[in-house]
Amino acid sequence: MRQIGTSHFDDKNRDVHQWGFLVDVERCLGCRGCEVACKVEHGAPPGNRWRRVYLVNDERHPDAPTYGLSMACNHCRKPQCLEVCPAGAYEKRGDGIVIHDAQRCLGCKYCTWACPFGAPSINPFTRKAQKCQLCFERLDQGQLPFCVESCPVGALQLVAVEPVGAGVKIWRGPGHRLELALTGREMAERVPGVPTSNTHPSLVFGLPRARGDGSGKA
Amino acid sequence: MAVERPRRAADEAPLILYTWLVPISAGLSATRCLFAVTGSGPQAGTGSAALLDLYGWANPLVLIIAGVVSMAHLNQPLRPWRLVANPRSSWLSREGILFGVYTALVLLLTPALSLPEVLLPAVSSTASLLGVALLLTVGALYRSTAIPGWDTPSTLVVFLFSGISAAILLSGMVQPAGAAEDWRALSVVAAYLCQGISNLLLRFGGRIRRTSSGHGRTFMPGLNGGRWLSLCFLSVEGAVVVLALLTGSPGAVVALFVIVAVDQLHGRMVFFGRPFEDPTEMEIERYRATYRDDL
Repeated sequence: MRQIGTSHFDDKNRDVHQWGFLVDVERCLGCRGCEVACKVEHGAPPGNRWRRVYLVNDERHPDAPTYGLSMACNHCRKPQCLEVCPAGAYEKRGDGIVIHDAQRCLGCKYCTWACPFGAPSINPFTRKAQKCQLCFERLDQGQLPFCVESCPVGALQLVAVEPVGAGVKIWRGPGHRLELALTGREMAERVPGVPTSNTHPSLVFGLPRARGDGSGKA
Repeated sequence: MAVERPRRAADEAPLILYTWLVPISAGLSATRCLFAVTGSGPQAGTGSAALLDLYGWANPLVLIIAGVVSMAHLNQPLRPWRLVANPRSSWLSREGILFGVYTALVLLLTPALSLPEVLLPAVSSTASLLGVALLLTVGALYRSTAIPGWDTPSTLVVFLFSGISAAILLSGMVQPAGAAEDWRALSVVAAYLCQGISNLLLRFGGRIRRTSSGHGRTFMPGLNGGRWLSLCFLSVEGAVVVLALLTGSPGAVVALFVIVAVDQLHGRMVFFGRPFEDPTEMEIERYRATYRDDL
């Protein structure tokens, strides 16, 4: 896996096969800045959020890790939305971003039922599906997505996820703790709060501290 | 944790009606097929022959209503052909294609077209098979979602069995020529069993799956709406079945069909009205529950 940190996003790194998000759950403060930035910048209607921050163990159980889990569309390698859409409104770009064409959308809601991450939602005004497009227009202009740009602690980053095969690939990034690229099922087991899926989400985690382990490594 | 996105059954009224009408249509096709293939249709000049003609008209009518109603579910109801753009991987596209072909065959069977007698068994059989395939496709469509309450094998069974019960009851309304004396009694009992299975699976079904944290297994209840109402339906249907057995009256079969139809309609409301719990929220809640058990 090759990581492009937020500070390393430039033209030479734009030729990637799969963009994805790195969610460093240890750094995340749960401030919901990413969620708000996304909603405001994209003008999502009330009730629609393309990015959500879930607080895991917000009851602060002493022996369980507490963290914020910022989730949006994971631009999966096997996107269910694209598979099930009867109108072919979804498309996976060369750089792995799954985009939704509102012109083609029939509003059948099938994608909202099929996505294990609940990424697509129905706009109550247009009655069409909408979801995180990873700000592909900004990316094409060399800018970062709004959510990544707004994160005050760098917990949310844009990374290039290279194919790592079917198994688990462990990688120690420069200045980072253990990071994992996992299949959907493994991800769900290692990072509580993430739904089980077989869609190969392009999502990388900085893992939460294990219970009773102060080392910061899972 | 609170349910994130509650849904109202009324929001899905077109789908409720569509998925209720399609099994009835499949039942009508199966009944028609039974009569055409076995030659056991009602005798000409009798009241039951008129009922058979009614089948011929009712089926396309039911399908046309189902088709129009389902279009209301879409954002672009005037462009339904877009539905069939992705049959390679989308069950909805496959359903759209099957629905079109099935409707065309059913239209061929209308009394107005007076299809030659020779072709009748073949066309009826094909329509009947396509009706069953359509039911299975509808079931597979909801089965292939990430909504835990729908993503169970029982979804397929529910749609198939509701079609079978409709078919059996529709055939029980008419005493086919040469059928056994207790044909009607058998049909109501069989329909009651099929509807009972569909009813119980729909409202009480669940599944056991691993928790996200991998610590254990949890029972995920299926569609929990209206359990008491479900038992009420089963009781009333049972009473009508007993009445039908005692009297042998076709009226009792018609009454059972009406009650079963109401039961199915309510079952669809339960199916579509279930709160759309956010998967991530559910996983978090499950993780918490599992963690508490460990303490």
